[in-house]
Amino acid sequence: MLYSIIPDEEIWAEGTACANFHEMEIDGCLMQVEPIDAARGRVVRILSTDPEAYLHPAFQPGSIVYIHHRV
Amino acid sequence: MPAVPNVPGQPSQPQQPNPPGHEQASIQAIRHFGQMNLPNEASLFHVLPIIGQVEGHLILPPRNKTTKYEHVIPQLVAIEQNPKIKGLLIILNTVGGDIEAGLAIAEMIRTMSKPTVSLVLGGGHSIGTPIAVAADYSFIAETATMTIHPIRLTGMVIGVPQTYDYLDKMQDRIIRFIVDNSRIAEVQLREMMFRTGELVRDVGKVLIGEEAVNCGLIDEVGGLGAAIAKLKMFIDHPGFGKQQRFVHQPGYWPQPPSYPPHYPQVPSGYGGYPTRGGH
Repeated sequence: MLYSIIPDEEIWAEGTACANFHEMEIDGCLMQVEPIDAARGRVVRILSTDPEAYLHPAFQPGSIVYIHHRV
Repeated sequence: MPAVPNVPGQPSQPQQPNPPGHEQASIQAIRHFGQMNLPNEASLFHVLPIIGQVEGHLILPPRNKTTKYEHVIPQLVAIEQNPKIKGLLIILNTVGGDIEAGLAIAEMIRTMSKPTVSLVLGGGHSIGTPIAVAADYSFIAETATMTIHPIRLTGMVIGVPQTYDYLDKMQDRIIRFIVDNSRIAEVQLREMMFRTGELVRDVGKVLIGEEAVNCGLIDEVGGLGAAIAKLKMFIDHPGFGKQQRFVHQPGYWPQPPSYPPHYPQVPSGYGGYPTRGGH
């Protein structure tokens, strides 16, 4: 059940934009990443609560990160 | 693994400002990664932004910006467990969201042993209110708003009286949490929630900055500097934050008198608006 100032019909409206975001942890920092190809992704936002992570130059929104593949 | 001071069985290290191995490690890092290490000054506290909709049991369509409880709740557990983190700053700019998720986050924040300070920026509407008051101390920016309004239900309803009762119970859960964790009186909160004439097509009230402080919902008007200063004060004086919360407990403040139902007058501040339940 939602308790929000945004009307329900607006929340549940089907948008055309279909975001393809993945959540992953890179160097110990949880972030939302938009994949570019198999190895790279673009940082959308940081989900970690560590304020230092937001200052990390490699994790700025829009920067390219290499997705670590785990076997 | 976090370094724990004074662990028996481990050789005590001399307290020097620059340990001899430190420089060597930095040089090694430069050699390996071609990059200087950032100054390793771990932050005293962590920051938890609650933005957009609070997402709970249902995944919202992708055009909604959401804060998901599956992210937030484990993060809160990690913050509580990590000895290096001394406090938590909660920054709210939310339009509301899932009741159960919001209350779950609020309960987690309330029951943390570490100092917590919340800061409402922009908006802390609907379910953002219990999250804001759950912290030891709450701030609101001068221009920030908080909308107090009843829970709504749209769509097909099967079994109207049962649904109505359920809605009423959900409403009471939220009201009880807010009243227990802030200085606002229940009658005043209910009166604001069902006030007419303030929201164009709806009942409720918008509180802007100082109004939220004046009615006792939020502790102080302030910004980032004030919130961090307060959090550092709580960190420097452990336990102070939880002491501060003591005054928020119900029963500490004089409760409004409970009038019998046939009493002709309504309590002051009630305004005579038709509200249900409680007083």
